[in-house]
Amino acid sequence: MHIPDGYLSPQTYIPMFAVTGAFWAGALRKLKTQLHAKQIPYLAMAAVFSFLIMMFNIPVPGGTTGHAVGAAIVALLLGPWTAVFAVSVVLIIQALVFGDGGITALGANCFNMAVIMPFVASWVFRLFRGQGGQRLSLAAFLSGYVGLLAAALATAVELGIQPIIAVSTDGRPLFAPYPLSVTVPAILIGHMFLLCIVEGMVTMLLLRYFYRHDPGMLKEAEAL
Amino acid sequence: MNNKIPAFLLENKPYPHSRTVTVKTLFIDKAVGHISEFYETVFTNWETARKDGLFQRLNARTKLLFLVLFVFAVSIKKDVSSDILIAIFIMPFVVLSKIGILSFYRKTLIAGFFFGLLPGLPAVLNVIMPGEPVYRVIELDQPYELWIYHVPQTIAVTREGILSAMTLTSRVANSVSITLLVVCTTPFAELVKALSTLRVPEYFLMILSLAQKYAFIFLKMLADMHTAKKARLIGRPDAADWIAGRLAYVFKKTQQRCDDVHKAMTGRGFTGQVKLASLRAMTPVDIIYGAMFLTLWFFILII
Repeated sequence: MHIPDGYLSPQTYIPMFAVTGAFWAGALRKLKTQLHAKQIPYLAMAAVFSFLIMMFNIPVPGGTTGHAVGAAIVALLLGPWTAVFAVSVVLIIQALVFGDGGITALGANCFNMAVIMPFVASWVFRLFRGQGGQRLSLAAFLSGYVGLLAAALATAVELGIQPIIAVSTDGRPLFAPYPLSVTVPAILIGHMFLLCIVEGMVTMLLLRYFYRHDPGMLKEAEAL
Repeated sequence: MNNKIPAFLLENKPYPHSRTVTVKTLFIDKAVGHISEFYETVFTNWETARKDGLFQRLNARTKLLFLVLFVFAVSIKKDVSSDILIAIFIMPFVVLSKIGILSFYRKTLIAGFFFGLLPGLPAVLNVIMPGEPVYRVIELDQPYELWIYHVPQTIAVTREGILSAMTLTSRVANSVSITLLVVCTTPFAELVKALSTLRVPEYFLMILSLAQKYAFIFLKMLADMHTAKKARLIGRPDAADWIAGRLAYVFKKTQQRCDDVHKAMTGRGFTGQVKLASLRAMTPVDIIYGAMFLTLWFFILII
């Protein structure tokens, strides 16, 4: 899911920085008006929480592993705008410390995982949640599942349009070489059957844990 | 000589459990392994950033300029020869910055292989990208049309495909080497402060800086919890519930820690106005290097 440097053309990554920058500015304005200065360390800790979730690589069939992004659960517990901030911070740290995801692709990676995913997860949760615990688990699972699927689709589209928008004079793709007909099924199938399930499970298990042990926290989250 | 060990301790009886128990926490162990990797990476970077090398002596703003200019240059160059030129240009800086050259290029090549060559390999075939065949792989009895996909009769490696995979690999390796050079020679806190020159709001930078510090605290907490749990573990744990419980616990703990941190910040004069400590002033050497990077960047762009 983390797009490395070299896969996106400037025609893609520069606009992606602009769009994500607009969301960062929006998140900043929103958080400045809603949150007290007291919550500055709180946002940093939300970022670390997402970082921790990404550390757990869960084995999936086929010998590979997958990890959740954590954007959905952060969005459900703290609100989508907080998740925009928290997950972006994690992605920046990962790019700068681990080289996970490129510097030029940072705008696109943040857009996919820190913007699309939390908002889609929040909307799906609101759509499916009920009053009882059963609907809550289902809504939490679906919010994680659909949130990550939407982020994966955005990634596939960003990569798949490269052979259309950036080619050499002899028609050779200059960046990601695979067309949409390859990137969309390749990325979506892997996510639909493996990684989205992991994300959905993590979101559901954590939300269920809070529902059982700290229901007050969920009431606060619903108000966001 | 008689010993004083009680008789029941001298009996050689098997362990009272009737069945063999397996403790399946391997993937949790791997996660804890990732935590150690985080520490290792941060400390290695911190160590190399303290060395007395060329890049270490430069101001973080100059290095940020280098990073932005050259990652951009790599991203717009369209051929392997330009990438090789950029790689040759970077090498003296790596040597002069006293970064372990073998480890540096090992990381770069590994990244180039896993993120460039490996994902780019299928593109060398004319099934993905049509082009001039240079090596015939397989001959089918006829071409096939599978939904929106076209499988040609002769599946071959193409010249365009090879060039595309090579460009992707060299571009990924170059971008990683530029990023590594800056990250390994600059303390994270300085790099974050330097981002303010790109008009990144200080509010955001403070959260970024705090998050990196908290990562240490909470990752250690999680690793300790796992060690404590494993030490007392007999039988099969419910791994999913355990992870959910520990992550939820860390989440609650982070909330509690917020109050403490805010009190500590207020006690040190924090009034809500975020103001990061400023970077050291640019010296003439920093400006000369900045100008040199700009000149080389222009040179790379026009060739």
